[in-house]
Amino acid sequence: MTKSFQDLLSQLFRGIEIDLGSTDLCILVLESLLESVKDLRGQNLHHFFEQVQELTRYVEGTQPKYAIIIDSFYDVLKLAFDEDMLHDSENYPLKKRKFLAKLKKLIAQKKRDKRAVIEQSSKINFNGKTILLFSHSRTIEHALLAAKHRKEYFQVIVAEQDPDKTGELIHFLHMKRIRFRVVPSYMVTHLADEIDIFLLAALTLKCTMNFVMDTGTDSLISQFHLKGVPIYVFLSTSKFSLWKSEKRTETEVYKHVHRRKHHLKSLDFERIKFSHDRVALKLIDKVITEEGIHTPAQIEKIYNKKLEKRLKLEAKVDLLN
Amino acid sequence: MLPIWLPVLIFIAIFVLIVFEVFDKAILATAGAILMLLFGIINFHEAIEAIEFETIILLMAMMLLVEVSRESGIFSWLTVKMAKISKGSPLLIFLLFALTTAFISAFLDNVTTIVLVVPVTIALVKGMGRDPKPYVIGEIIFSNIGGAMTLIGDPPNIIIGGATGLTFIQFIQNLWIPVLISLAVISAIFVPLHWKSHFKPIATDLKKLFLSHLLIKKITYRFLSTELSKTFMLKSVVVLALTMFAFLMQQFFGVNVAVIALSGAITLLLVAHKEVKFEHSLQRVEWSTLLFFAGLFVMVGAIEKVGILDHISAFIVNASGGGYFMLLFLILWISGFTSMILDNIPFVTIMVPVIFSIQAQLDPALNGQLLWWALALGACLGGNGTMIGASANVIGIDLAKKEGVQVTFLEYLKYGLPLAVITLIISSGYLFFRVYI
Repeated sequence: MTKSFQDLLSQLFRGIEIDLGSTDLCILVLESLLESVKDLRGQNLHHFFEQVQELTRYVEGTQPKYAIIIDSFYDVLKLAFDEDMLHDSENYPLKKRKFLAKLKKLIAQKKRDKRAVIEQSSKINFNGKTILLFSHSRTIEHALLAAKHRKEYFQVIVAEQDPDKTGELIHFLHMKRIRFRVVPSYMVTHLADEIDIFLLAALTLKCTMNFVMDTGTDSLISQFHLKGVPIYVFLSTSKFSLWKSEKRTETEVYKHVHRRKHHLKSLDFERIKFSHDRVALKLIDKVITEEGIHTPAQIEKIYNKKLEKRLKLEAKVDLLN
Repeated sequence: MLPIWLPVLIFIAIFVLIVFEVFDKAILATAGAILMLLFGIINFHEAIEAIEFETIILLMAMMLLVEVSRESGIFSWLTVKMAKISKGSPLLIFLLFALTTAFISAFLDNVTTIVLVVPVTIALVKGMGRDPKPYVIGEIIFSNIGGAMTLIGDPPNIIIGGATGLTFIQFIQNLWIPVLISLAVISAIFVPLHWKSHFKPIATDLKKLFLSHLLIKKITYRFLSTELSKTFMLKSVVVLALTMFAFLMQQFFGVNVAVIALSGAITLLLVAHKEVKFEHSLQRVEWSTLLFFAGLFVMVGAIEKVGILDHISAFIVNASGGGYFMLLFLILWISGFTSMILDNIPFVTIMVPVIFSIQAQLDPALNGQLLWWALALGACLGGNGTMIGASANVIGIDLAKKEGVQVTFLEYLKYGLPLAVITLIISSGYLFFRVYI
């Protein structure tokens, strides 16, 4: 391979995430795993287990890391681990079938979780409100569509960001006939008085209690936090980053620095682009998960519980290696 | 008495300008036709008579039929389906895509097929961390070979069909053997050549399988992003199938191929009037290509009038030394090598009256039709030799470049030239068989 497998995987995940969002990416990843295991030939149980572990390591090593996928792969690993260790008298083909059946159930569960977050959003009344959107999130799109089907009348203001992401959002609103206007995000302050609620999606929540969100989100949240506009973040708990954050290095993919020519004048300059913002949990009013609508304090508790559970599982898997 | 050198000079000058792409080739061909008229080499009525309207209408109708069908998404669906069937296996990706390209190219035009297949192939193969060049070059080569099999598969065949009245089924009956042998031989060369670097099975490697399946999912949503209308797709498939059936039954119906193609295009436009806008479909027809053909026909008509083509045919007959196979061999290889470096459309247009003239000089006991098959095989298969040998090559390489895959002239030549020579050798063998056995 000309590029390393790790780079290819990172690039592919990032490309799909930009197009579909991380929740749908996760479902596609699991469905791909299901089909791959079905097509896998000439293995024994031990080799199969080793390959699942190897793939999990690659999935954990992508840049950026996708907590929702890593979380799912821990579930997958648990399935493989159960089949491998606890019922070792059974033959491999039978165990593979069992593994596939469980994986199918896991995918169904992920799809239910996605729907659950949307269902939780029905507790918010959008009727008569002007909603500010910035993130391109399928979950938010479906939540708004569900509200429209509930005959709630609202309008949307789209604050522009990355043209691809804003383009996708505009396309969705247009196709679903949801009333919307678009404004450059650095001009949204002029419409601030009209905005009743700010809906956002996050890629993950880190152990530092910071969300990882689209670039430009931090300044918008700070601005609307000061103005007292309610800020809601959609995030399923499976997207929590259940590991300790490492300190950044200059070589990370989050920061892109390149030379660029001025489009009118003969000068070139250094241009810096970042892929994500980190936004403090405390600036948010409510977080909508599959379990309900939570305050930042409640979310911190849920996070800590999940982290504890994950560390136990990691220790168990490590013992087997 | 008309001066012989003047139309030849105009033709050569226009030909050189076309080769070096100084202006749009449609404008150049039309300018050449106008010069022939202005110098009085040909009059207006003769110019109109020289235009093979059957060829022009057949081309226009096929363009309409393909464009409207393409709007239904049927071809994108088919390409994505192939990616799914391959399950990410590099060998299956190559064979499925290349062979389907050959098959579709036989019944639609090569450029459309390449435009549909190359982006999906690159997304799939590049995403797997492999070099997509052999796959892209393979598809281009297979597209030109497949196109050689039918009357509508490649512009040289359309010109030959339009000029001679040979039927759709006659093309298939006479060309399927060298085409299928060429496809089989090239597959047999390509696969072992790239076995280690490209086509090794991945079925025992979970991570490679996983990457392939995820890529296929990405390709599925990327290339089928617009919601497909099943009704529109069904209408397109039914009309395409009926048109192909009518082509095959042409000799029983006694209807011209251009009329069949036009009937197909108009039927599809009528049944799919809710899904397509007629004006929009008309805009997609390559009118400049049709103008190019019309200009060429007028120029060739002018050259034919002054009798220069009789001299060329006499030269070819003399060069063959009187042997029929040698004559076919010469036509095949001259057409092949000319098509490698020059646009084969003007070449075939000028060769049509030459072949007619040779046929007139032939012993009636010989099978004169073989001359057309030699010309068709040479012009279509020779196009594979270089990057500029056929429209599908130029478009395919351009598309690859847009997707970040740079194929240089020499890189293409490394595959194209030997494979084109092999297919011409196969065709020579076939013609030998037809003459002597």
